[in-house]
Amino acid sequence: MEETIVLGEQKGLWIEERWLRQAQLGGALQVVVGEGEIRILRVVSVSPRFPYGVTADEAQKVLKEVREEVIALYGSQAPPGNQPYFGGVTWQEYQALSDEQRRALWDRVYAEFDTAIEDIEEHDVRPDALVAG
Amino acid sequence: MSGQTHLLLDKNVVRRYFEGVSALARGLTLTEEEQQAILVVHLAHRKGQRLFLPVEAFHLLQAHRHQIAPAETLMFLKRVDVLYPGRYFKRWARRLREKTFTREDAKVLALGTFGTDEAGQILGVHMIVTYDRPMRRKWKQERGEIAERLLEMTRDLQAPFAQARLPDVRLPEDV
Repeated sequence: MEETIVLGEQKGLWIEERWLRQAQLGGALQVVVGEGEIRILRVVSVSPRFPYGVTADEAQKVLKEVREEVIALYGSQAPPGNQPYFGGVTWQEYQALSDEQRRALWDRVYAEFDTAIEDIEEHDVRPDALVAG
Repeated sequence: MSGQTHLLLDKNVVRRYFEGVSALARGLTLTEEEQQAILVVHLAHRKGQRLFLPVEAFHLLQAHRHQIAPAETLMFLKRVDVLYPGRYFKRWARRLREKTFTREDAKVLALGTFGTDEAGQILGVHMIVTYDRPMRRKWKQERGEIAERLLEMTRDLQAPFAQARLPDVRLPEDV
């Protein structure tokens, strides 16, 4: 059943719980802002896709093994967050950066090793080299 | 060696790998991209596929190996080899620049066709794995034209360069 409701405008919009229940939107909502309309929709959950078509369970198993490997290398304890981690910042400082700032930091450090195309030294390739493709 | 798939990781995938493993070491929740980067590296290695990183990324990790997350660096380099620019790399990178790829993109893409291992036993890789979606989109759109350009350049070259091929450019989840 479709009903039209008028919402009171304050600093934002308040939608009473009963309307949300009636719409059966579920726990997570997405708000789509368009020209002359705002739509509130159910979030359609999309399962993440993993490389090699592995299932979520298989992926978690691999990640658990990776975690065990890294923890073992750090002597069975989490590495301290206040030591240099990358590009002169500690892990704690790195964690506080936005994704954009992290990428900029990697780009800056990477640029130190970047070479102009003309200055690159080309390596020999054997005549019987295996060609990909 | 025949039939073995070769993958080149670009620096964004390397970054996600390091961030993901560092987060795992501290018991933090991983983002989807971090999970995918870790899975590509560890599953490819288990499947006997050969993983490469650009020589610049290797130099970065080597130069900072005592500062950049040492355990993560060790784990990564254990599974990944270096891909060096082989003969004709520069010529092909210049051609890709003419197609308006950025210098960095042109270098990665040229490495995918004219990269070689330390012993010079391979030419190019089957796949470049990247999170650079604009580069991937442009590659897909212009691939036919680029393939023709490659054929023009390589048809009179000697083996193995006359057989040089374009790599696929894929997101980690599409590997």
